[in-house]
Amino acid sequence: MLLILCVWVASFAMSGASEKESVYLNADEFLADAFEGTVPVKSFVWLKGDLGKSVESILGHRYPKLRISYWQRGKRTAWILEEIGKVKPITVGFIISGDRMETMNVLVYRESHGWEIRYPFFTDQFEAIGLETEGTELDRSIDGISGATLSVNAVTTLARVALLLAKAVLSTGTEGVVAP
Amino acid sequence: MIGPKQRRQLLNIHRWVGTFCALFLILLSVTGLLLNHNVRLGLDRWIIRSPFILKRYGMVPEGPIESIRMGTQIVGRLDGVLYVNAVPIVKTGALIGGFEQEGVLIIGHAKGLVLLELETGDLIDEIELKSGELNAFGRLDSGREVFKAGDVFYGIDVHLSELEALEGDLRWSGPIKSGGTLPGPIEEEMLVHYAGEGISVYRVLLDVHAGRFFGVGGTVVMDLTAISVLYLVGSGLLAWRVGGRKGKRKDGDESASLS
Repeated sequence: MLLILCVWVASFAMSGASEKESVYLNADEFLADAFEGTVPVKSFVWLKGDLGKSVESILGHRYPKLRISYWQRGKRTAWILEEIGKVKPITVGFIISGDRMETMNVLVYRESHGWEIRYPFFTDQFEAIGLETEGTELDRSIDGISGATLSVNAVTTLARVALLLAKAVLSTGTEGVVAP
Repeated sequence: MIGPKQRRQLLNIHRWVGTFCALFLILLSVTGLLLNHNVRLGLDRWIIRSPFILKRYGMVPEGPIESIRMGTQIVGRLDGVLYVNAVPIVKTGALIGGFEQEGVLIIGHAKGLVLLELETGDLIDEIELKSGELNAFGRLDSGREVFKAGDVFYGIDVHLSELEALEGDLRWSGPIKSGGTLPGPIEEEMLVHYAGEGISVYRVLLDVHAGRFFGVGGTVVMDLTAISVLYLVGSGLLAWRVGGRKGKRKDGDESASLS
């Protein structure tokens, strides 16, 4: 009887512990780290035409916005993108140097499972990764995490989008707005 | 082993716990029977639309639907979500106003701006106000359309990626009212999106059965009932065993004395 009561009380204590939004790094801190304190002016790229279609084919659906913000200094660009893991969006920050990923950081995680993707044992796999010469696949495979498959897929997909967008921005040769 | 005094106490508690449980056990039994025959009774097909029930499930919006009509696009806001032609787009603050610029609809809300494509209503971008809240949408004496937060004016330009405060000698001409009522079907569609078609009898019965329908208190009472039933089983068996052994011993004593 005592055991039953303990389990019952514990069930109340544990309720509400899940489904919480976890902010691991806010966008301002991420950008300040990325650009050593002096954040460049925000620019944007339009997801229209071929670029829009390529992003849609990577994600399997349209990105929720037609215009994506980014920050650029020289060949270094920073991107903050969102994709739904299972039911809620995961916010991820990418820093890309030329056509290679420098770092990937999970900024906000809103699901109850799969938060392990924020740890270096997973994020370090994205260092120096790029896209295949032809196409939009990553040129190296990413090891998954059991129990976090959907989150891993979401983040890997976003990495491909970020690398594609960085390539598009740098191919214009100018810093600033990439017109539709 | 318990003696006759403890047995009496046990049965006394058993009686009170049983009385406490009776009503909830009836509720559990009736709802349990109905749930067991859910498919045959078609309980999941019966939809309840009673505002009282829907309110218990948080399916009735707390505030009114705000709306702005902009050309062919009908912009509404319900429970913090901006809808264009009844399609949910993005979470926003309270609607302030909006206008069109270069084929882009610019909607001002308390926390910033939302840019939408004029033709399709697709989301282009969101621009957040870093501090304070937008509270008015109007014109300066110069005729320029601006949003206002406190005493600060923010110019509106579709090419901007941040809200930029205007400086210099600026004179507020007055607000632009941008109200408008939602057409009935659009309002209906928004409410259906918000609350769904309603809630099934099966779902309500399941929640009554578990006590969830009555909130945390209901769950606690149903849990206590379940724990009490376990106690009743234990105390009943113990009292019966002790009583049975005593009865047997009594019978044995009687047969011994007879022989």
